[in-house]
Amino acid sequence: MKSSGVPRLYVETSVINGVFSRDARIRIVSSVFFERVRAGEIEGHVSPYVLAEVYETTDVVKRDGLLRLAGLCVADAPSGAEVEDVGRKYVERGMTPGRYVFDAYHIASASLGRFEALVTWNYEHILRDKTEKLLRIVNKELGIHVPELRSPEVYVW
Amino acid sequence: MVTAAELKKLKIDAVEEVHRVREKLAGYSSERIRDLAKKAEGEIERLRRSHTEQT
Repeated sequence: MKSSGVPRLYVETSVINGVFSRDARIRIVSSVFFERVRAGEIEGHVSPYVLAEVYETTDVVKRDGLLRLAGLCVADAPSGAEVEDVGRKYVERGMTPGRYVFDAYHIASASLGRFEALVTWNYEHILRDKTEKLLRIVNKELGIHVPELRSPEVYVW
Repeated sequence: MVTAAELKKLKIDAVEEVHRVREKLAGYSSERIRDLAKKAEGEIERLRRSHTEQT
């Protein structure tokens, strides 16, 4: 879904952390991504799950940097019982591991918030064929929107 | 040539850090998550005000 041609994206926490990555590719792409958010070329949205994760960062100096980046996004992605019920369904279906139930909450929030895509660096549990296929199946069964699962690289070139 | 097993060991530090926090938050109630998010929003507002005062 787009408004005025600007991509409306759910920004998962790893993209915010990516700006401080030791890996130059992750750091550069994440930084350019947020420059595009700052310039209004991308509409970034975050949920209370993202904000809670950022707030729990133990390094206080880094946390302030992460919060500044999160503050460039609109904090309006859904949370609560409905999101968490959908998230638990994803885990039950083996879409994401139960140990990291928040992976599932992020995807559920992006689905129920009807975002064009969820952007993340998490190739292990989110940016993978299995998750994408199951997301299409489960969301179709539930009658809810299917967001794309994308790396931020898609939005910086 | 990198094998699939080796590929699994290539971790992205930004994701690893998020996962450390994520494991901890998995045990929190929805109310506690909302409370943390509100505190984060308060901090974002404080950082915005301090930036505005400096400029």
